Amino acid sequence: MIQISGIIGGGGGAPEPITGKISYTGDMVYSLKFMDGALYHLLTLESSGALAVTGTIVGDVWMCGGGASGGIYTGGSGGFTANYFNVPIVSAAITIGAGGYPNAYNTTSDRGGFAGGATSYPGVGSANGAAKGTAFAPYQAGNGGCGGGGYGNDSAASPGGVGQGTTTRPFQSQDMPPQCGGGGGRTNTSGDNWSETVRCYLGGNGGSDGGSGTGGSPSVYANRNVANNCSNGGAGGGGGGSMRGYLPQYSNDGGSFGRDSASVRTSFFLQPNAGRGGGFGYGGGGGGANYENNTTGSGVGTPGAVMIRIPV
Amino acid sequence: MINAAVIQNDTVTNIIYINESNMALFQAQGFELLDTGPLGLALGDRREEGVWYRETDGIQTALPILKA
Repeated sequence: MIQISGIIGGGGGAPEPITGKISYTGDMVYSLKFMDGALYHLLTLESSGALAVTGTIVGDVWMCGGGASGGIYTGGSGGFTANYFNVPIVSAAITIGAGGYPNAYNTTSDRGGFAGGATSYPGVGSANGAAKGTAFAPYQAGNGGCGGGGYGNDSAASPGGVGQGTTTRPFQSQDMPPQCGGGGGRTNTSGDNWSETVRCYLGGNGGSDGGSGTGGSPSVYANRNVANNCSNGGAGGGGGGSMRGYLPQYSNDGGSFGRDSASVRTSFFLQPNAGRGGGFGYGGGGGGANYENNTTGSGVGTPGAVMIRIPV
Repeated sequence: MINAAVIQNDTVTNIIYINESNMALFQAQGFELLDTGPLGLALGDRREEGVWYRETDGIQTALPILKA
């Protein structure tokens, strides 16, 4: 992460710098970015702070709330997004919504994970964080920008969380990657993992680009060595919780397609953890818990962000 | 960097991501902020006479909630 105050401009022939016109006390990343055939100054505000603007600047603003943490069964949903086009870029105290923190499951009420915080740019707009999932059967990820994956179960498989239904790409631009993916739901097996064939309950995948998560599946039988079908996070979401193993060596790594993916098993004798929200994305939901690690196992949501683009 | 609870009317109304060095700036503008870490503060938690509570399983429980 790069923290700068003000914008670094280029020399002769380079785009006109806006140094001295904008500064920020929080974490801010600056880049020049082509989007939809035009070149923009792109400012990404990654933590809460005070934005100071000198003079009149007009641009576009995208923002997202924080992602929810994964629940005991379900993936966390990604934060909601919002776009504001052709608005005055004004001085303001900007708050960036935090991601939901990993679940300790100290109470039944905590089983749905924790919601993400809202992001706000006073004078421009706001974006809500993802809601937490339900704490009672049928377990379901909360609503968000992209839905978290559901829980696999024969009698009570749950649907995925509901996404916002519109793209999560900043500025609705195809030149920007989608953000705020949902985390994958938990996958586990029914028991005798020392057998060659095991019964697997597959968690649903997290949603991407505004989509809902997929539901969990009833059980299937598969060879334990190929039953590594942990659910995956959507773009920007965390990987799903791991399959349970009665013996540690039969536990599998979490899902792998979240931005930051799931953690991998670091030791033959250690259980892997669920994936947290996207390391390179914003507002991603955390993965569902690892069955054997319910006390600490769900993935944390990632914080939201504000992006400002100003035509060069 | 920490997660800070935004408190209005003795209720946690938002959780924000913020560098500790910016806390004073926001507090000077009227925000009441508390690090969520020590108590595990979450949205909706309420403060009564200096003690934080969360409704869990239908019961008001003082924070922090420790695993049984």
